[in-house]
Amino acid sequence: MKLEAEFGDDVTVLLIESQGATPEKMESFALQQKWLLAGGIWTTEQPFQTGSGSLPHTVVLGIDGEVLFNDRPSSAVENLVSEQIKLAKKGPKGLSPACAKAWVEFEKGGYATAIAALEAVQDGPEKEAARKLAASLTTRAKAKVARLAWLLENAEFEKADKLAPLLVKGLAGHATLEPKATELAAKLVAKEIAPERDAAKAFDKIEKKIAKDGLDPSALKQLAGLVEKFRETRAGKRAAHMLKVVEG
Amino acid sequence: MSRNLGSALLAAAAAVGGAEGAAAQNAVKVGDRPAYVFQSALVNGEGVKSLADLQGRPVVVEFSGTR
Repeated sequence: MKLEAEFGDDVTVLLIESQGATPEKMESFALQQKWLLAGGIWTTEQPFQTGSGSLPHTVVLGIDGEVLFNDRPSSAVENLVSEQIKLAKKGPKGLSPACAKAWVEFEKGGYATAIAALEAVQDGPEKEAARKLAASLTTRAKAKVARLAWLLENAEFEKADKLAPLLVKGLAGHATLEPKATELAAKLVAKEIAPERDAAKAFDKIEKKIAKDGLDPSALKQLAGLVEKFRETRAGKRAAHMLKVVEG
Repeated sequence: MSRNLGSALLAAAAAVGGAEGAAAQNAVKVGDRPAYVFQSALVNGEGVKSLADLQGRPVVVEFSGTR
């Protein structure tokens, strides 16, 4: 949580519950601790073995997915993250000139341009590296579109409104991702979504209160009131889910 | 302790040791690039389905308990 507060969206914190709790228990615990609303992705799935039998344990993955640290939490983590954030703007060390240029373009938001430039490298010594990076950047671009779809589906309109124009612009010219981004952006401004936006606004307000004061009785009462008023909306369903998880 | 029970316990201990050994052997090391596709939706996942989706930013993977 401290890392997210310090580095914001520049770092991803993935929290792995490793004592066999059910997803519902994990979510309830994270909510009670006010951690869930501070960011961080939570799961009970173990994406890999660490080789350590003790908790807590930290693994740091670099910007290209390489394991940089695998040990008990220490101050070294903060330094590594800081270095990687700086590196994220220009790409991992050792990139070929064409790859480095495409990486920078992608980071500036020119997603389709970067991918197209790499796909245009059809021969020469950079061909294989360009092919691999094009595949990796395509995965990342798809993940950005998937994020927009998720934000829309989960009534996270504040974040979705910021992301949609960036994706429409950055994916212009991409055969498959531009139409998807455009379609999602259109859904965001559709008239029919107005009740969803009203509900989401009310839910955001309660979420901010919970993040600050915790899940006190007044927050639970507000959540119940929101469920009653906006039962059929996505935010209403999220509030109902939150109450269900907390009440066990 | 009967001979059979003793053998069974030894075999069980070997199996546990073997499992731990295998886990340690499969453990990620510095320099590895682990790949993983999540089987279920992540809480707060914002559409993330795999470790590859997270590339481009550093990822701090925190293994902890909730008890």
